Amino acid sequence: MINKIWCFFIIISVIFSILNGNLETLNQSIFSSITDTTQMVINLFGSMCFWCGIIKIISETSLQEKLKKIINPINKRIFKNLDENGKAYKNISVNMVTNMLGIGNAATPAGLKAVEELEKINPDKHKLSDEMVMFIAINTASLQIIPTNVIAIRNSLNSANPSGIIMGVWFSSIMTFISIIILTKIYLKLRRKR
Amino acid sequence: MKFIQYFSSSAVIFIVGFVIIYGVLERKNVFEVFMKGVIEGEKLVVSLFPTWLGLFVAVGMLKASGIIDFLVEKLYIILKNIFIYREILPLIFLRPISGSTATAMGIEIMKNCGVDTNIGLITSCIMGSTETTIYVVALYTSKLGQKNVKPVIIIGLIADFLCVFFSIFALKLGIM
Repeated sequence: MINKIWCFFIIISVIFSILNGNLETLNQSIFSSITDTTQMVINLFGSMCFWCGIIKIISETSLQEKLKKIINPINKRIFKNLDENGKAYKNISVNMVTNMLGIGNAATPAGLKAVEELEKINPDKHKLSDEMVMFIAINTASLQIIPTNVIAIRNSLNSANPSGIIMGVWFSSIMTFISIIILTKIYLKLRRKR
Repeated sequence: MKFIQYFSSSAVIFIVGFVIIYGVLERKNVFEVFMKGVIEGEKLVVSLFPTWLGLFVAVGMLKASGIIDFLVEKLYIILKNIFIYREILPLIFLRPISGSTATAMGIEIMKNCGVDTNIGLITSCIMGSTETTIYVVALYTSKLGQKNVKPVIIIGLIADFLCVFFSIFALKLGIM
């Protein structure tokens, strides 16, 4: 699917550019994207490694258990069939807590580990297991306690009340989160019937 | 509100400090463990580089080709009577595809329409309450080999659109 999307993006861009006569812009965009990505990866490199280090400390102390307990009331309901003491479950907990705290760079490594662990216990390697679908779907929502980025942007634009959106963001992100869980549950039910 | 700003600017320091102190109290070789994690991080970044490069170049091309502006124009003609927040349309389109572009677009919208206007508030709310769906799915499935991820993408996209309605709803409710 990602295969198809990727090819689709590029093919449609080329065709549209030819029709629109702005091939020059497209040409430039390829090179600027390459430079931008490299720059981004360099910027991200340190921060990603740093958070991986911090997460490693969390996972080697009893802090991981504590984080698991904090998020357990929600997680237990979402991932009913997952072994609570398994590695996958623990990494999911770390991923969700770091996401909530707004440290995306720390959430990603834990998330990738969670997916890896889920793959190990996946009974059918040809498709995503129920837990994988749920976990990835949840990650497309953003459950942040403090939406720091948006507040910072609003602040830089001289908003009269930069953090005034916080209740709105809570409402909208929690509702989105719940819809994702409902949608996923419906999809998984349909898939099982088939 | 002062507290929130204080919290968001010092949260990282507290978290790092707390984790380190916790490690020391449990008598772990904190630095050694940290190093192990950093090495894992190095490998992770290197292994993710292909995904990032491929994805960002494709998205960059999509942006440069002008097709998004074109679609927004066309969509606006259809939605003119139902959807009054025209300025937000490009953001709705970009949010699931590219995080950085959506952020740039959001800033642009808020600059043009005002941060504290209805449109500015909805824009902020959309930016804060959803993630870049395509990116997240591509990232988390990048090491899983060939698998059907269409349903996850569809779920994510539906949620992104729902998020727009929830954001508008939040404004109507008067909670921001």
